[in-house]
Amino acid sequence: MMDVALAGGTAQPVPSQRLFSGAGLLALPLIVLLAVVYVCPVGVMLADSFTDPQPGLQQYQRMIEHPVYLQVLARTFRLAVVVTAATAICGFPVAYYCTIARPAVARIALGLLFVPFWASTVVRTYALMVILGRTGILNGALLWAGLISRPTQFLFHTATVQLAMVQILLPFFVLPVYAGLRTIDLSLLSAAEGLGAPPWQVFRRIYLPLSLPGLFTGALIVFVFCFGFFITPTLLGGRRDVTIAMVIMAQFEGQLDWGFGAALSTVLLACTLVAVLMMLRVAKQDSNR
Amino acid sequence: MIHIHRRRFMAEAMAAGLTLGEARGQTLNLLPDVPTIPNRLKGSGQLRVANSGGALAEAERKAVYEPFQNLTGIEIIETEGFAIPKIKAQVETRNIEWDTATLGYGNSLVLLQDGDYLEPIDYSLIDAPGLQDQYRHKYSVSYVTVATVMTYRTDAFATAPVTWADYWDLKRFPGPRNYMSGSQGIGVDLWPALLADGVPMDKLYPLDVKRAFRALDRIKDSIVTYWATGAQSAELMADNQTVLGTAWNGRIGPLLQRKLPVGVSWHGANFVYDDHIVLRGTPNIANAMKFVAFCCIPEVQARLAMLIDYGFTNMDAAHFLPPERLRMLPSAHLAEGFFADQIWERDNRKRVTQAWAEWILS
Repeated sequence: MMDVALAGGTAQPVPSQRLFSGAGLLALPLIVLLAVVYVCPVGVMLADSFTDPQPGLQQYQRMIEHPVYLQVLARTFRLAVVVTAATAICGFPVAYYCTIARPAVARIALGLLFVPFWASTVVRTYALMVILGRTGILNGALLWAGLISRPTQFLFHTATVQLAMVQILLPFFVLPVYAGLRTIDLSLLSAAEGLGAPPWQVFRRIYLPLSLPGLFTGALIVFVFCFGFFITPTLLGGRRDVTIAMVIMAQFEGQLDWGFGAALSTVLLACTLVAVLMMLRVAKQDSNR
Repeated sequence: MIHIHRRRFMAEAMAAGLTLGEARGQTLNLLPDVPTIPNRLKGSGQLRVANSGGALAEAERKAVYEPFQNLTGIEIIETEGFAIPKIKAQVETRNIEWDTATLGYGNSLVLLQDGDYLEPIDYSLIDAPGLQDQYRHKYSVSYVTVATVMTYRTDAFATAPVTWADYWDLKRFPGPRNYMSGSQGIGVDLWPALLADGVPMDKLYPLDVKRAFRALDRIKDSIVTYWATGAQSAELMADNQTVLGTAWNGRIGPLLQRKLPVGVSWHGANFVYDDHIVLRGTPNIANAMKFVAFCCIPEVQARLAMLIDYGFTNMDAAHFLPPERLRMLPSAHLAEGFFADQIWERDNRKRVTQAWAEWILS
C-alpha cells in the first residue's frame, strides 16, 4: 500500500532486511503485466494526441480556442478538492474513534462503514435517489412534519453529487487513515498531558503531525479517484455537473474523435500528476519538520 | 468499484427497474412463425453478432436469433453492449471479433466518414419487396425505426401536453423536466427547441442552431437533469423525478404496460433507424450477409415488433401484426413526426456538439 511508503517518514526506522537476494524478481511478473497492459496503451494514447488525425499540436490548439474544455477540467478539479476536503473532515473522526474504541466496537464501526462499500457505485447512487427524490423519503418526512408545503428539489445539484461522492469514497479514506493512526504511540499523548499541555495543544502539536502521513495517503486516493467519476454526476448532477471523464468518454464513444480525446486525457494526466506530486511534496515537508 | 464499466452500468440501471416485464411473456406465444427460408440463406459454422444490449437485445434473442439458428444451421455467438469505437479498433488492428453488429444509421455515416470500416451489403441475397428504398443503404440495412418522443406524467397535469410548444410552456405545464444529455454517446437534439419555437416539421433542416439555443435558454432552469442512457430517461419518469421529458419510444413502452401514470405524445416525434452492418475484412462475411438478409424477412421483423416497441422497415411485416400492436409502433405514427436529416446531422456534428458543450456549462 501507498501508506507504507509514506508512513516511512515517521514510523520507527525499519532495518533494511532482505529475505534473499533475488526477492526483487518476484515483482517482475507484475512489472511486465503493467508494462504490457498499462504503460504501452497509455503511451500509444499520449502519442495519438499529437498524431491523430495529422501530426501537430492542432488538438491542443483546439483546447485553447474553445475554453469550455479547460473549464470542465477546472470544475472537475474543484469537485475533487471539495470532495476530498469533505471526506477528510467526515472520515478523520471515524478513523480516530476506531483506534480508541474497544476492539469489538471498532470492528462494528468499520463493518458499518464497509457494508455499503461492497455494493456497486450504481446501486448506491440509485439509493440516494430513493432518499432524496421528489417523492423520496426525505421529502415525504418533511411534508409529513409540515416543514415544507411541496416537494423540494434535492436531486440534480452539485451538492448532491458531492454528498454522494463523499459517501462512496469514505472507506477509501478511513482505511489508510485508520492504519496510520493505529501506529501512533498513545503514550506520547499521555506524556504531553503529563507535561501540562492542554488537550487542543496535544492534538495540534503531537497527534495531528503524527497522523499526517495516513491522512495524506487517504486524501490522495480520494482525490485521484474523483477524476474518474462519471456515473454519479450523470445520475445525480444537474446541467453544469459535467466532469472531464464524461467529456473524454464522449470524444471516444460519441464523437469518434480519438485524437482530441487523447489530448484531453493527456492534459488530465499531466494535471493530476502535478497535483499529486505537489501533495507528496507537502507531505514530505510536513513529516520532515 | 469506481471505474465501473459503462455496459455494466447500463445493465444494472436496467435491473433497477426496467426489464422486459412478464407482460411480454404472453405475447411470446403469439409470435408469427418464420416460414421455410431459401437455401441461399442456409449455412454452417458460427456468426459473431454484437448488439446494443438491454431490452432490444432481449427481444432480438427470441425474435431473430432463435429462428435464425434453427433455420439456417448457423450458430450465433452474441456480444452485448457494443460500442462504435470497438468496431473502429477491430478493423484498424485487423483483429475482428464481431462479424456483424447493430448501429444507428447516423452513427454508421459518421463511421464511414472516418474510413472503410464496413463491407458493402450483398443485396442479391435480400428478397424483400416490402423493404423500402430509404432503408437500403450501401453499407447497411435499416431493420428497426426508433422514435424520440415527448413523455409526461399523466398525474401532473389536468390536460395532457401534446406538442413541443407545451413542453416549453412553463406556465401551463410547470414542473421539472428531463432532456437528452448530448454527451456520452447521446446525440445533441436541437429539433425539439425549433419545433417548440414554431418551425414547421418540413422546414426543420438545415437546423437553425442559434435559434435552437435561444429557445433552450428560455427553459434552461426547468430542465433539472440530462439523461445519458435510455434506461435513465424511463426511470426519471417512472419515479416521478420529472414531469416532462424526452425518450426513445421503446423505453417508455414497458412503463405503459406496467400501467404507470406516464404518457407519450407522438406529435413532432423524430424517427431514426437502427441498422445491421458487416465489419470490413471479417473472415465470416458469407454468414454475416445471410444474417443481414434473414433480418429483412417480414415475419422476422414482425416477431421483433411484437417484443419491442420499435417499428419495422419491411412494410409487409404489418400483415403479421395485430392492429392493437401496430398502434404502439413508430410505424403507425410516421405522419405525426419526421425523419431526421442524417446527412446534415453528420456534417454538423462537431460544430453542434461544441456549441452544446458550451451552452450546458453556461
